[in-house]
Amino acid sequence: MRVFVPVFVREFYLANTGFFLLVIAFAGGFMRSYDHIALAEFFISSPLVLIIPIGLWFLYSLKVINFNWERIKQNENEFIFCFMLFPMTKQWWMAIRVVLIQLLPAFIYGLFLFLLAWSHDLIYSLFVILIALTLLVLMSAYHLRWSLHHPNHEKKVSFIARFFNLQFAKPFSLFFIEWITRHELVMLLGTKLFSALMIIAITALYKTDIYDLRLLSIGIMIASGANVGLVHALHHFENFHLSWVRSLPIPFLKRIYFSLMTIGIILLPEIILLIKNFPAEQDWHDYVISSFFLISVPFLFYCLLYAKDRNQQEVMTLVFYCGIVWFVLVLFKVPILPLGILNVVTGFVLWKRYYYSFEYVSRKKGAT
Amino acid sequence: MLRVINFSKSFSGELIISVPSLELRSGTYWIKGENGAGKTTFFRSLAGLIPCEGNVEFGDGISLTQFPIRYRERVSYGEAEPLYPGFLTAKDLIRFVGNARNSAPLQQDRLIKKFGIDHYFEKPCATYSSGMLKKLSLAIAFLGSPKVIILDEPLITLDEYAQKTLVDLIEEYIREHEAIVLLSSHQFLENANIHINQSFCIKNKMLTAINPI
Repeated sequence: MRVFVPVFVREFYLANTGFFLLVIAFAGGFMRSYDHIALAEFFISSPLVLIIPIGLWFLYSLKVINFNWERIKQNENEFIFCFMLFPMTKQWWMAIRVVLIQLLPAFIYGLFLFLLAWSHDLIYSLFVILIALTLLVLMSAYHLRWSLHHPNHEKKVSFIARFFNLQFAKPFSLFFIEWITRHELVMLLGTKLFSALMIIAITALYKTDIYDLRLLSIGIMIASGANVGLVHALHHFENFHLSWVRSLPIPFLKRIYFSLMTIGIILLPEIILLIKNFPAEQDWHDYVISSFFLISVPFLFYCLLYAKDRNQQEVMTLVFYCGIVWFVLVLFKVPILPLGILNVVTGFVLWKRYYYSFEYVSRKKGAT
Repeated sequence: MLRVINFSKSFSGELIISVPSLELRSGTYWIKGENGAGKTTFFRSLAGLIPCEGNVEFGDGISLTQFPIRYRERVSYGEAEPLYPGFLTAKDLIRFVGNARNSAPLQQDRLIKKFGIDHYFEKPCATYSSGMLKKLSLAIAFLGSPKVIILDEPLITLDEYAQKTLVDLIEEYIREHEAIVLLSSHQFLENANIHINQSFCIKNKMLTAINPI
């Protein structure tokens, strides 16, 4: 167990610090205590409605299963396969203990719902909560134990991947996109969902009322700020998985082009959503400026990471403070074009100054 | 000629390796040292992968810090235990590095054939054995026209045929491009028929020359 905790549990919580902070900020920042109780009472009111939290717990369990699977596949963790030498009961006990700690957030909320259901004598909901949590633990533990019994499984390449590998050599700007799609899909989809909803919600307001561009600018600011988490992953990918690229004779402007292309591809869904939903009464050049600002924020933070390496929590704190400054400036009618230009110029300067002198210290984040 | 003056590399204030003065001309050089002595750190610094103190420059003044792009055109590095993202193919990597190092497609194809990479050229790295990965990293190190080729533990996991290919390539680059080849190895390089011009040893965190073999 002393080995399992650092390999699976500690790394899981470290790798998902940003995710948990976001959940805490959402739960603590937007909802008051009686909102939580009202929502929980709604959940336990019928076993059918309980499907909502159970569905979320299920998705969270899939996240845990996926994380453990990725950890097991890493060469550095091969020593853990000696697990199969333990007696069967001990194997189950160890797997259950690991996933129990990983599923703790689901259990805490489950306990909250359980106590509420108990106080309201909702026996049916009580049982559904208990059974759901037990099944999720057993499912995650079963998968962990099964994975540890099936090391070095055969790696199959899909027909589509084979076809593309035969026809093309991947462009460099797509390296990260493929990596994040394969290894941080939950983070990618979560970020895209959040920023897409933000843009849709803000642009929808323009259909019923009259606002100037400031409201849209604030929405774009929040959407682009959410993408900084992905840029942090890009920085990790470049410096951990592709560290050797630094030794290549790639001119500065070409490196900038590669990075801007990658960031542009990451933000493509938001740019397309903006085109589709851009307020009709605004000019087309406002759309171009909005898209430019959308890209400028992640680019600035990407370059800032080369000036000083920060973990995701530190970066998101910085995003928060910068967001407040931008918010105030926008409220005082400072247009976003100069802010975007300032972001990009600052990014260029920082990157040129620090790129070659930057030294990455691995945070052991999912080395796959 | 490559000149290293007052070189030092520290991590968190702790000195890892220092090289007061070193001059290398075309030929093969063997850097020895026990595990953790700082060989890889020295190599990674010379390759421009990690920052370091001091001056590393070519005879014509092209230095690591003042001309980072032109310096990197001349220096290539093959890692001891290369790791590439599993979804990338040898094709993705060789074409990308070949493009960055201005390597003609003909040269790329020749290296692919020489190391026998053509059999798995379009397959993802996740399906490679450690020997296949090593061959790929060695082929990448010879792309372009490097003046300094740094190979960290080049013989490990290589089969006999690939070892012979490597030795031939080293000789070819020294003969035709007057290259400087820096090697580290715990194996006896003489057994692989590599002619060593000079050996060095890292002792007490300092690189010192051993008498020519």
